[in-house]
Amino acid sequence: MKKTSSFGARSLRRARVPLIVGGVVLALALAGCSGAASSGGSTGSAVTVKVGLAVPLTGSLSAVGIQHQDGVNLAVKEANAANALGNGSTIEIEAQDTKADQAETIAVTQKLLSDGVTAVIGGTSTPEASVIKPRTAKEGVPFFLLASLDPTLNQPGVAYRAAPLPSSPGSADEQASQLLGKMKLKTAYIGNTVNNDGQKADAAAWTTYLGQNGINVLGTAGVNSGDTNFASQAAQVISAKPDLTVVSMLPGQDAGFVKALRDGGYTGTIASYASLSTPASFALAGETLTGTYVATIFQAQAQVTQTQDFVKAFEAEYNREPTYSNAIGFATAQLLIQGLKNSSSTADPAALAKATDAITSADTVYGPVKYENAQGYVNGELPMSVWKTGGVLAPWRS
Amino acid sequence: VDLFIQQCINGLSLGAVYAIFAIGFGLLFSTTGVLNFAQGLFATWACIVAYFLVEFVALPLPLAIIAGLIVAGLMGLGFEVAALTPLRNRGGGVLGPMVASIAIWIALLALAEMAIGQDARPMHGGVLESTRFTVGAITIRLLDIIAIVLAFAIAIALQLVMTRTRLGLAIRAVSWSERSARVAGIDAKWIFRLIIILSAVITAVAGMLDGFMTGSLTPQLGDGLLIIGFAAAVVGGVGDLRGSLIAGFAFGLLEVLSAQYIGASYRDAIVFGLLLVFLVVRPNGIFGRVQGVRA
Repeated sequence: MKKTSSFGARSLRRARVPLIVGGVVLALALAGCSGAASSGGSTGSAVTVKVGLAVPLTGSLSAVGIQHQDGVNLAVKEANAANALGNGSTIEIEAQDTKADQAETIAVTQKLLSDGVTAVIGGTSTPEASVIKPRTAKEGVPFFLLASLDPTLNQPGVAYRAAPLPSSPGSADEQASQLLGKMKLKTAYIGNTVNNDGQKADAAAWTTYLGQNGINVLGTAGVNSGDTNFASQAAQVISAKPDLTVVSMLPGQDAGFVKALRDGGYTGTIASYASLSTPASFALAGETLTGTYVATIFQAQAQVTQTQDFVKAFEAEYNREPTYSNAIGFATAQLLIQGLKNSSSTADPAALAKATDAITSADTVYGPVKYENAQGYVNGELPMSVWKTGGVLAPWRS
Repeated sequence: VDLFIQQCINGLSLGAVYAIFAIGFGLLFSTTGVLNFAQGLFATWACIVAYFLVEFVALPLPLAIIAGLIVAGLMGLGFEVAALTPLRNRGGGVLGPMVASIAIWIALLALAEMAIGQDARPMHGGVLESTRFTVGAITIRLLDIIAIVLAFAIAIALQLVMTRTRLGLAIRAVSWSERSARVAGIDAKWIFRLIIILSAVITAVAGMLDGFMTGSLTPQLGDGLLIIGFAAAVVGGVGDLRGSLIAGFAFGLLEVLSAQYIGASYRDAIVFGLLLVFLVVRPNGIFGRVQGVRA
């Protein structure tokens, strides 16, 4: 008997067919790892305006999608209770599960459009938003974007984003860069999810704003969406010895990267965006988060009237403090509701788009926001945070 | 130079995990002909069991790890008894077991999502995670050393079992010809069961290492290993222990060094481009044709 290091006896010539078939199956399977009930004018009898909600209720982004849904539902419930549309007209949400899958997102968007919705709320991620927009645009139905950070998606008459982009002028990245600049930091490295357009745009904005505040960005440590092992990226950063590391990554990855940095011995300053402000982040990274600065557009403790009203209502409804994703859902639905209120014909998509285009400012859960080019912009000081020991998020203003 | 050495250590550590998974994955395929897509979920579930036992039952980590590995083995056994044996008896061919494994894969993934949700759960490795050795500017985690040692230990142990024991002889006999093995008095049914248990436990070891290295547990943990582990098994030559080991380490190094020196955006294209090249140029893996070993 000949001894070899091969323990199998089946010839790979025979095995080639199932291997290739298997490879194709594997590739295909893992690639997925993604109306008005009655129309009428605003005058006259009550109408029910059907609004589609396309978010991941199951799948890899369901935690975020469900938070968006909770925020949207609260805003709609408040509007209906307050007879916001007048004449007893109400808003009805038709929720569809995108399963965090692009093909499924396309299918549910078509379903919502065929059901005759007046508007679609969706886009928990850029891949989802990017397939919803062309379909709603084709049907002339306004699309209200949730959390995609892709700055090219908003478009007057077509797609609206209520939440200020962290990368936009005056928003989180810029305000945080100003504060970090005052800390006399000189060099920075950016950890970035490089195959996500929104995160790439965010990293580019950080680079610009940090540079404007005297902090030189030395380089980028890139990860891909789905990565969970950050030891090599952390080594890359630690080797460069930057004063500051900015983490611009997808939720979950950001906490893992901070942990890898601290576990690897990085002692510099770390800053990131709102997704790192959740209890889930602390559960994952633990005390390694201590001292990490978080640039947020929403903080439940912020002393803003609209914020505190929202927090009270949310706690009464769900018995827990709202997260920034809840706030995004709430603020997005509020913009839509304001558009419906201003619309000349309540359940008409075109009239809704025209009315939403005309909205230029609002007091929101983020504080005062101005709208330009179908995009919300911060119009004041944002409530920044820093992680303290024991998982406490404290205000950061200096 | 320090950074290069550090990244090589990171790459070898990552590669060790891929190698272990590739060995477990390849063991089952080369001996039974079953391309098991549920293999990654066995690894995920081993981690889920260990996580729950530590977090909610306060079981000591070593016992939780052992329990997780046992559960993975039982899952493999369940798959064999419930699906593979009946399919084999009814002449299910190659595609039947493959499709069955896809069904198990999807079912176990859905159950994993129900069990732990979609947010990453912290997977703390205690002293395994926190122990580090520093040599100058180089940091080596205890987990890195364990992973590399385990990869070699599993490969060597499996090689010895396969070539030096009666059990190995029986396994090879069954893999060559089930009917002939039965004629020779070998209980093929139990050999098949033993193989899938062994295969599931080995891939679960890879899953545990990955969980502790990343400090996180998600339902997709095993799927990530399945992709690269599958690639490493193919490039190494399915069932070729030396090849799987070398290919696993090569993929780990390639992944880390390409991200460091070329860019993370190109990483997957490089890794899977290599897989494609190997399939075309050397379809039987690094060391060429896998030789049949007759009992």
